Amino acid sequence: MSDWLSIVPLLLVATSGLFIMLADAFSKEKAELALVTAVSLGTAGLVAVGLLASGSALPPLPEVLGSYLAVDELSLFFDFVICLGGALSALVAGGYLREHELERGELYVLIVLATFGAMVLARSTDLLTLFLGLETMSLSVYAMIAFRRTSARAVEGAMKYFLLGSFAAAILLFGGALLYAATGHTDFAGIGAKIGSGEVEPVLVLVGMLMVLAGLAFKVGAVPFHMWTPDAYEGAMTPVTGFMSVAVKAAAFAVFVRILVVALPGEEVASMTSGWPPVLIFLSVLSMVYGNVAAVAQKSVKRMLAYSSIAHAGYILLGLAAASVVGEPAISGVLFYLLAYTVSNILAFGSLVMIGSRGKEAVDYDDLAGVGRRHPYVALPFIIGVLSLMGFPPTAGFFGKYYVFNAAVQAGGGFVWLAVIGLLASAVGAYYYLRVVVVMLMKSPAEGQVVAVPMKSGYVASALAMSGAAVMVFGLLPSWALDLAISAAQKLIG
Amino acid sequence: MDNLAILWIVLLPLAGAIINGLAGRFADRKLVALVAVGSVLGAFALAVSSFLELTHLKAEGVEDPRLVADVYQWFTVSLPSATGAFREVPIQVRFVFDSLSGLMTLVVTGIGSLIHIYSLEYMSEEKSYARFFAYLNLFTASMLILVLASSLPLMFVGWEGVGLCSYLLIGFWYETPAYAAAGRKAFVANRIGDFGVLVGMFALVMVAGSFEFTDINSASPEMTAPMVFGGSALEMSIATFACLFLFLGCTGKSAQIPLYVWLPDAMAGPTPVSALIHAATMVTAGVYLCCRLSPVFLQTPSAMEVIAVIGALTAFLGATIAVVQREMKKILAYSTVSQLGFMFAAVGVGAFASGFFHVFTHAFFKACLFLGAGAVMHAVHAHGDADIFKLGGLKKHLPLVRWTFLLSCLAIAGVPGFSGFFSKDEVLLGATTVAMVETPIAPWVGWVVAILLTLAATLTAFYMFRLYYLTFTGTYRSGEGAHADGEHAEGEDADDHGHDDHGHGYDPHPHKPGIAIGLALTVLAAGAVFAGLLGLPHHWLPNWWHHWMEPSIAGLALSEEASHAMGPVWAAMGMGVLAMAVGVGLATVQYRDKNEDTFTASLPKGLFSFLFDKWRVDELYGATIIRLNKGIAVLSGRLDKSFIDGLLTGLTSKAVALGSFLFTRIQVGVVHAYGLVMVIGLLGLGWWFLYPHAELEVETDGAAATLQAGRGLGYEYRFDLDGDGAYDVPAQPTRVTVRFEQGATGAQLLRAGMRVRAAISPEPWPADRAALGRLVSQRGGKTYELTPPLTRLDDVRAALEGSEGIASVRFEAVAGAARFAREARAEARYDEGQFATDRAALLIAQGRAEPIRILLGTSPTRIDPSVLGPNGLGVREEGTNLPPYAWVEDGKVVIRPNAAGAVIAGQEPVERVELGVGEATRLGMAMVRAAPVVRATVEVRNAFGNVARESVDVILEGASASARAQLVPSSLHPIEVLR
Repeated sequence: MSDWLSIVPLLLVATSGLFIMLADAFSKEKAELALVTAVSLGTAGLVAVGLLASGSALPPLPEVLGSYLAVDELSLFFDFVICLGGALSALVAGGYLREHELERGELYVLIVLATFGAMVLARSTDLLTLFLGLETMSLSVYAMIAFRRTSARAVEGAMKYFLLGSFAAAILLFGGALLYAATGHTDFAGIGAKIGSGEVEPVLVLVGMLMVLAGLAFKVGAVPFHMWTPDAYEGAMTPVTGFMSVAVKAAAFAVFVRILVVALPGEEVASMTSGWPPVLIFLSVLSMVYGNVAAVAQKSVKRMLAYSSIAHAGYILLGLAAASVVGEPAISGVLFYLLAYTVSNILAFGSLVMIGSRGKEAVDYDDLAGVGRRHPYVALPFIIGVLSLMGFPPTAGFFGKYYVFNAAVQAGGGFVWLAVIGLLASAVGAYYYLRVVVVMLMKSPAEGQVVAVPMKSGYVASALAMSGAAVMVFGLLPSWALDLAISAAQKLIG
Repeated sequence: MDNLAILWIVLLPLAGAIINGLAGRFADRKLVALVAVGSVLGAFALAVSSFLELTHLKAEGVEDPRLVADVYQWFTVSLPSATGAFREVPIQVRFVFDSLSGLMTLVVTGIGSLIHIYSLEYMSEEKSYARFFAYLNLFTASMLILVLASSLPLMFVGWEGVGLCSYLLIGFWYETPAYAAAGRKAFVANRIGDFGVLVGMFALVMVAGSFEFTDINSASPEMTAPMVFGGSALEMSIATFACLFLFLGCTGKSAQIPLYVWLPDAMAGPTPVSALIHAATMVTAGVYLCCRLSPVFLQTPSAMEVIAVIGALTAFLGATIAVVQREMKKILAYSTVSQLGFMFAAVGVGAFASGFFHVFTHAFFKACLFLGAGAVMHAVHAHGDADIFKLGGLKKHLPLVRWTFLLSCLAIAGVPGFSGFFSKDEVLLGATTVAMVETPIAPWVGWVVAILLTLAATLTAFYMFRLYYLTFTGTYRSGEGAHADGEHAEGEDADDHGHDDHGHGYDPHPHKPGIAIGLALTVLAAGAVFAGLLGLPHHWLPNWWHHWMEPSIAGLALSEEASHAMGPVWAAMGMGVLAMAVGVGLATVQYRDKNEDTFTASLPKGLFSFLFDKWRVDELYGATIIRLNKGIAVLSGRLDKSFIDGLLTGLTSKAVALGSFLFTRIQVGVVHAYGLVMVIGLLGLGWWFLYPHAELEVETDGAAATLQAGRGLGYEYRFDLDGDGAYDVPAQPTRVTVRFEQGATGAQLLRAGMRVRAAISPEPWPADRAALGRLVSQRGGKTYELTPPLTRLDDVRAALEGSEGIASVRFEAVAGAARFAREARAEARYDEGQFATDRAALLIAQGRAEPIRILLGTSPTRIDPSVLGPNGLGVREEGTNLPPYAWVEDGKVVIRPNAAGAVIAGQEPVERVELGVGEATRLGMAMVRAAPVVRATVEVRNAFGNVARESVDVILEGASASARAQLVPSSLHPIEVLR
């Protein structure tokens, strides 16, 4: 039985998904499902982090699963991050659905299933499990976006995401097929070993690699595969947007890390001349610049956060590219960044939910005018959230940015310039993040404008309290989380 | 070794400051008072008990008793050791209570407690009661950190802390702009000094390799080495350098020339503040620092002479100004400047313990004087400061204040028996000793100091009694029916910030002070009388002070007879008593029971106003330094507005806004467009892979070079290493003929289109695929073309010959086009025949810096004078200043240097220099070398069959004229290719 120890979080999530589906059919009080979801996802996350922190050796999985799912610290780290994102989103959703009278239990089932898919994706060591996890996650997310089915925007966003997502999945699948054709393997380790041996057809490998990377870049929302992001983020309900921006992104980056390190190692495919680092650099620079600059002109805070998530993908990709030179510091920086980004973004989206109530939702900057003075305790988490996203010390976001940029500087050469571009781009970012603070604290609502009235919800408040505390704790005492990230990265690199 | 009591001495006032600072304004005044006074009294009690413990240890025969509280390691710093290797040096938060710091702690907490108590009454009508006490407690805590710190950095924390509190308390009534300005002035003057402390600290720490005072002091003998600064040795020792900078810090904090100007203005603060900070404790921090580091100061007689002279000058200057002032606190302020001068004069003549003794006695009588002045002002409701010409006759109204004030006046004037007499005598003794006995310090310094101090002491006795008589004797000039004496030289008094808000004199009915003020005055007056008994003249009487201070404070090493010479003793005592007698006598004659200023009015008009305007030093600073500074500030301000805000910020924000607008246009909302963007992105990335990227990098070593091209999956390379247009790697394709044994199955194995390896043997070969290449032709059955690298041919042969069914293997070279190989790296050794004839590099080395490299062609290249530095290239005739040029002509480098160089005596300017490749010569201050250049090219072919080419000029810096002979000519090709 102890063979299954390392995937206990995954199994917990899977069984709770089935249980919640049943409970939804028989329960009347749907809001309780939010709590059940949050507790079960939170438990899974805590189990993962407990296994990780205990540092005990993980037993290998039974042979049936062994080559498909990873048993390592990296997976546990991502189990933690994804479950944390899922649990906090479920809490926020619990408050949101009740306030907006949308109470239907499917959303929680979908959250759990999407989380499950994300965890499988993060754990996959084979192109087959990768695709399985990806589709489980994506299909649930499409449905989550379309949850508000009477809203044209929601349906539009879901449709766009679905169409483009299918397109991206096709590209990824085709790339995987080419890799298989070149190497005769579908497992990452086998692909990596074969490419390392040099006995592969370079054209197949290069094209296959490019297409797989493009497919993953779509999921993380990197420019130029980002076009769906603003529409889908805006169309989805805010708690769902929060979930998408954290759990989906974290899982996609997890598999990104694993493919780069395991399946595409070696001097030739990881070369700056003609390997994946230039691809990542290209995506990273475009994402950092485009995301930050485009976010400036947005009127809707939600859309601004969508563009900002593109920019954050750019920073993380920069760290991944630097991993080709420095290895562990870059990867652990990326892991810490994802953790910090998860709590900060949930804090921001959760606050956006909290600030509005039925009929008086906060969407645009104008809706936020003066909230800070009218309801300081609702504005405070939002301010902490955007400051952390901005990378303001001593929040978690500051250290995330610091570790990633530091890895780039350590990598030396052209990476130093990339770090400079990143810093300049995040200086642009400071403009729109601080604008939230300015509007909330210093602006007054225009004459006759409907002002946002904060909702009252223990679920949302507790989600904000938890993520706010996490943002500050990871900012003031980053070493605990960083140590976990470092050990995960070291074990991965070996 | 941990002594918690020592830690609590610091923590108690700090806690008081935090409590009152955060919660004080919500709390009851009594509670605030309890916290403020209680914390300092508690600290005092702990200090007393620790001090008793210390005396106990001393009595038990402990040489250098010290109580230590090791709190935690603050941080570590990397310092180079003597060998140049870096090591981590910890900086500890550690408090040490020893004979020096212990006594100072007693002063700070003891006098601090009295002044806190005094303030309870004095500040009772103040609005910001809690703020005042929070600041005062914070000051006490900072001062204690300064005093008890075991290392320079921690002391600097206290140093800055007291500076901050001083600023806050001077500007306590910040609603009055002039008071706030006084605070600023103090802060700025202190900041200048702080810079000196930091520089001095770094210089000391570099030698000692530690931040601890004890380590620095024990390393002091090494500090006589010359100071090395920016690679060149200065004409002063490290000790001199460090001590002069530390003294700069002291001139700021302890109000010496030239930075003393802030202290008189600091009287804008509440009077208890003036007593505590600007008389008794903070301003003596400089003296304390000098005593702490006395072994270091003793290494540098020249710095000590500077300190002695400046101290004596300050003492004299302060006293002259004090003579003509007409406000109580201003007189006392200049008196403080003057007395601090005494202390530094003592430090400068090596009498550290005596200087510190004067710190101790001065703390009592000056605090008492200030508090007495405060009591007077409190009594007559004078705000800010009190004009003594509107006072008078107060002995009737304020008997207690009068008596304590008088006792303190007697002490400061140096009347025998009072504390000031003993300490001033010790200081004078130090000066006369230097003047009359053989010491490392020049005797003239001793004389100058002794004379200046005697004059200053005379003036001190005079102005103090002028102050006393005008305040307490005569008739009360603000009393009922009396007219205010308003017609004084107000117009010229730039510093009179309009304190006299009454205009026509003060409250006609002075009221008696309460118990708190009375208590503080009484205790301090007792101290002023008796504190001197600790340091009785050691020639006749037991001197506890010197014995006590011995372990902590070093002194001048005097010979046995010198220390017993009586000449200096009599001289010092005579001068002191004479000065006192003259000063007091003159003042008594002039001012006793008088109501007008007969004496200073009789001074020549010019001298009076010069003194009254404080030697016009503020005006001097204003016209020079401050004006210059303001000019620069205005200029930077304009630049900031127009260039940074206007151009840079303005343009950047416009650009971002435009970009943002354009980017949002892309987001059209149509899903087809989104898909199209994805496809374009994918194609764009694919485009990058379609074409190879050579990224050639070169490393040279002598006449050899290593070329490294970028690696990529499926990349193949060929190099032209010498620029001859032919690719060198591999040099020739090789044809391999394999003959099979009769009846062997080899022919069946070798099938067209298969890799040779697979054909020969089903087992994998040790060599990789690249070693063999592709089967090119099956026709004839037996001839195969292989493209292996040259070095692997033997491997190929061995592998083929060992195989079953193969009879023989033959290799032959084939002329024809070069092939690509998989090696991204090539190493080459060059000889003269391969050097480019139309290119060369010029290396210009100046000093130890990295040489400048300039690539030359056949057309003249201008050498930018700005990269050559001030010495330029070559020697020039005076009056010419053209930039140098260089080019390649017939395989030689030609330089026309005759310009932009330095004019060097004994060297003739040259018109034209020819250098063969590999040769070097000296041109002016620069070493110039002509290095050969070879043009290397790499061609890269990727898996898609596309080819890219990149060329570099390889500068063979190491190839010299002499090295050339050692190159081995190669019969085949001079290039080896290694994997």
